[in-house]
Amino acid sequence: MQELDKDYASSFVKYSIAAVIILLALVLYLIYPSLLNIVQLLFSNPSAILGTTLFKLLIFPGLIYVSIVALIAEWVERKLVARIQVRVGPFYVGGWEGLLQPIADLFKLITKEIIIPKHADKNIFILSPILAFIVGALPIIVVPYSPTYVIWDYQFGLLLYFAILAFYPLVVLLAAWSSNNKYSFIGGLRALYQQASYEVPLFLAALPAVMLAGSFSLTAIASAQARVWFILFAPLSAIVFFAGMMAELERIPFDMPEADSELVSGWTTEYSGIAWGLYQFAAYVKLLAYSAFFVTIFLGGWQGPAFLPPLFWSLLKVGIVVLILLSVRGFFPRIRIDQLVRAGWGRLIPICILNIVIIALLQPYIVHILG
Amino acid sequence: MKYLDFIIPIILVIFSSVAAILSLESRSLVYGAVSLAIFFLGLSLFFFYLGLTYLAIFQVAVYVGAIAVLIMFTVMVVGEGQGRKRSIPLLGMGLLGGAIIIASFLMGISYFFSLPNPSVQPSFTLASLAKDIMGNYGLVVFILALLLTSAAYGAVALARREVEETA
Amino acid sequence: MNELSIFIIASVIFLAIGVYGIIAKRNAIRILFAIEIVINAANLNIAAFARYGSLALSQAQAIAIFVIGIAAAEAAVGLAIIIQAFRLRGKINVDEMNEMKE
Repeated sequence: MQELDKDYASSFVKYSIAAVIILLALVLYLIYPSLLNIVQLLFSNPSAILGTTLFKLLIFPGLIYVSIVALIAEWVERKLVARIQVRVGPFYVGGWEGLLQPIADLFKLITKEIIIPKHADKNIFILSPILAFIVGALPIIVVPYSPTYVIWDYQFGLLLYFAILAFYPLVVLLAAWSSNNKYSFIGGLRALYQQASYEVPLFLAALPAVMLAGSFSLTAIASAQARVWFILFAPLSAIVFFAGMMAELERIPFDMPEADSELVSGWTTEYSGIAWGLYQFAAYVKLLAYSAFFVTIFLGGWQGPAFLPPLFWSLLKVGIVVLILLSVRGFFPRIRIDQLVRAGWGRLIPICILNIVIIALLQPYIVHILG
Repeated sequence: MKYLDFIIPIILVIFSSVAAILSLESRSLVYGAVSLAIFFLGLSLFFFYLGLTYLAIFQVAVYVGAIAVLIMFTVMVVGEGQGRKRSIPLLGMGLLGGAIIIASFLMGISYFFSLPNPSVQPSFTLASLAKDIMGNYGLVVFILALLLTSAAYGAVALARREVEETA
Repeated sequence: MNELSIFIIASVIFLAIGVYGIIAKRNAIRILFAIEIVINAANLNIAAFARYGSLALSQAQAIAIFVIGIAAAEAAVGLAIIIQAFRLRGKINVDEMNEMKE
């Protein structure tokens, strides 16, 4: 068996390097015109680079921004939760208060060995973290940070967001099953129950925003909140969306699938090294995507007093929502899995429907207020 | 450039039918379920190409997001079947049935060689879709809701473990 | 052979694959896969006539949405039956499950 594993490993490495080279060539061929465009703009009109799609995809509301915010969010979470629990948190690495701790973690995870269990399904085992990151990061292409900083202003942006989010239970199930471990499979099933139960309240809670704005496009929804934010008309939906957000992200108090004291690490138990690191990274990227979505639907996106640019307001609001989400971790105990599922199906859905009925009844008057 | 109109549907057909055949013929049920999900994604690309964007996203959200997850959950709980012993007569009958269907439709299609090529439909608005669903088909929505509710009840009742009475 | 025939042929190919699966497979879950393939073939047919035929886009999408809903209901009930049959008999081979009594 050892020889088979070595042959498999070497051929896998060769094929993956070939696949990466082919993929890079394809990507270069596709973005070559945009690159030429950017180089031209660099010499003639540098500030117009900020408007090109390639810049938006890679740098600002795209990959690099999301990665940096994920690293910062990890550090902020550890420090914040530590202070809430009257601890200090990381303070060795980096000059001030352990600022470089996430980077140290990243180096440690990269240099660790990825152990693949003997009878695990190798293809799905290696594919799952990559798929989790792709599915977690894809929704950021429709979320607007300002009228110009949106990668793809799609007519059905909200629907596309939810369709991509519906993928995630599939990824969790594949990851849990391919570990060939009964306990991580149980953790994966719990994660599946939790995430599938809270999808419907999330969909229903986003509905009042669509009813008030009259469109599924996220830029239109954010533009319609110029006078009043939607959270004042749909407070119950906002609370339900916040709870559903915490359940989909598997954060405390909805921490059951991870259950540090019971299931070791839940459905990610068998993943070590950068594979596990990729799951954590995907969790923080999802956190950012969900927070930006919440800000766009309920808190008015980029709307704010005019003495500061709209981008500043949207970043401020996203930062506040992320801080609240991170700090909740220090306050609440864990909810049991049956309480969780009962709350998702039986309590949150009637609250959402109540709010939808209220908005439907008050719709003619609200349209006057919104202008 | 007229050939470009044919290339994309043909590529999508090949991709989706390969995924469908893999889902039936793959050795492991889990790979079959994964390739079934890929088949649904291929269908969704078909709908995008045809201009039915709402239907494409709906297909992804419901089929891949719910039904494929349900199927995969069942496959993982039930476990793999026994070893494969091909029964030749059934395989032959199945292939023959499929070939007869394709051949008969190809023959019928040759009579439709002169199907008129209508003008491109304008892109639809969501408002017209909503008016159609709630207006013309409002009763259908109601019946569908009843159907789904009873299916949920039925599924829960069918899959329930009978509690043994220990008296 | 215009664009409409391409889509109709595609739908027929999926139908043929589904029928082959229903007839020639012994595992009940594979039969369920084949049923889902057949339902998607019908949906593709409706969508093709919306674009290249004389069916309104909104009407076709409404019909296809209802078909997807019915497929979801049928998949749920079918899988519940398969789970219960597996619990009671230990195998899901439709060739051997041909008696009501064990």
